[in-house]
Amino acid sequence: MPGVLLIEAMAQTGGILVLNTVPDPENYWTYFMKINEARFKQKVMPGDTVIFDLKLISPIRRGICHMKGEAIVGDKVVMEAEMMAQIVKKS
Amino acid sequence: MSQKQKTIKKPITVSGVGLHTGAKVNLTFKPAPENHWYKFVRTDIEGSPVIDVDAFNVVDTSRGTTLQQNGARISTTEHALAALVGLQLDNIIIEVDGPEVPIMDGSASHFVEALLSVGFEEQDADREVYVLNEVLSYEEPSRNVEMLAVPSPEYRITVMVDYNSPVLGTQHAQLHKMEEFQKDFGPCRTFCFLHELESLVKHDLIKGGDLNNAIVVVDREISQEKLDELAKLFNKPRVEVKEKGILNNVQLHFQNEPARHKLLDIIGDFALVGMPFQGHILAARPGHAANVEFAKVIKEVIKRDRNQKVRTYDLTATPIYDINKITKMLPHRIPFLLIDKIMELEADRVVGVKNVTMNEWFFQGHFLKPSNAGCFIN
Repeated sequence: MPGVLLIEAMAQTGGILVLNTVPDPENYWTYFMKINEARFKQKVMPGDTVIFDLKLISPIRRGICHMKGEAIVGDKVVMEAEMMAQIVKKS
Repeated sequence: MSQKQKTIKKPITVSGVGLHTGAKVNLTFKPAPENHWYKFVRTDIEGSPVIDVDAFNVVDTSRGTTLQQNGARISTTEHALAALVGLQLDNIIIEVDGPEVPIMDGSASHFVEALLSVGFEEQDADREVYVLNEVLSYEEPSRNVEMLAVPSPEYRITVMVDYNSPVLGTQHAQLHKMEEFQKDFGPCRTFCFLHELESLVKHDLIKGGDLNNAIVVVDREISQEKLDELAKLFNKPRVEVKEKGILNNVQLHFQNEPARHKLLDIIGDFALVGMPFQGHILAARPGHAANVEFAKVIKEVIKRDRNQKVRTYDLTATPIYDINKITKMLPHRIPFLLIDKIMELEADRVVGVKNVTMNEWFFQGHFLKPSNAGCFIN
């Protein structure tokens, strides 16, 4: 699976974390703001189940969410990254 | 939901005598920073050496648990440590100005009261709990000691004691969750047998013992003269043996107080694992030596798991959010919705799952070609 799409999948998982803090997630846009320390360690092949485990690095403030995540297949970390996203109310 | 680490709001001092040395000692619990766990500091020694609460620092388990590090020793650590674990504190500095933690009344209740009196403070860091997910065992056949740790959703302890003594018989104690500690186990005092007591006194080993800080079990015939002699030794007006074979120096708080005290010892000694622990401990005839050895076994397992690093996930559990709920939250749609289900969701953590198949659009024309274009590097 392409590395950028692993990043996208991780970001979507992180989106769930931050959107879960508002009662009406359908009324918000989620913007990807920053990515750091991204590492691709292993190929992801058809048949793999990828687990995205993300933790907050600092508490969510003003809709800004800073996370560190690992993508795991079996017992191996296949990708890791620190990412930042912000949710903004649709106008 | 993960819990935050806790310490105390301000320092608090407890004073008493050391059981074996008889000398007055002051013990001060002090707040400590995040991820500190418990550490003893010997303030009476130059340079105030620090002694980590670690099973591998144990040097003696004959009468209480003695730790040694950086050239300093601290004895009878288990009751103070049990109070800290029992109140689910994470980070504490324990300053002591002597070689021994004061015995107080032989239980953890004085420490518990002192800690409660200053109040607790939540810290920013999450509490990291080691969740046991295998069965561990420890055995000392020569002493009929057997300990077992099995996975459990709570930190639970079951203790069985049997001392071949007609007075104590077989006793059993159970802690289902740590919240029970303060009331049901904290006040349980240490105990000893009268026949041991005599030899200990003769060897000058329990200078701080004054018949108020231990339950004395009398399981052999003893004359009143002998008892009078003993009373004199401890400066007591008169002691008698009560029906149940317990010296009338103290009232039992619980019928199975000795077994409960052994449970308290386990809680204290398991602080030596170095982090909060979740599992069910089953112990038959436990003692400090076995507790410490078993704590070492658990510590090694934790170390092994740390090296493996990757956590375990239960992918067969019911998802927190399925694909329908995800599409309600995220604007992404096929082919750009890259997450199938959410398995764990807390205020600060999320776990999502994506199953990758050969049918994915991005494998068309890209997959396993010798030259992958641009950003699609994998």
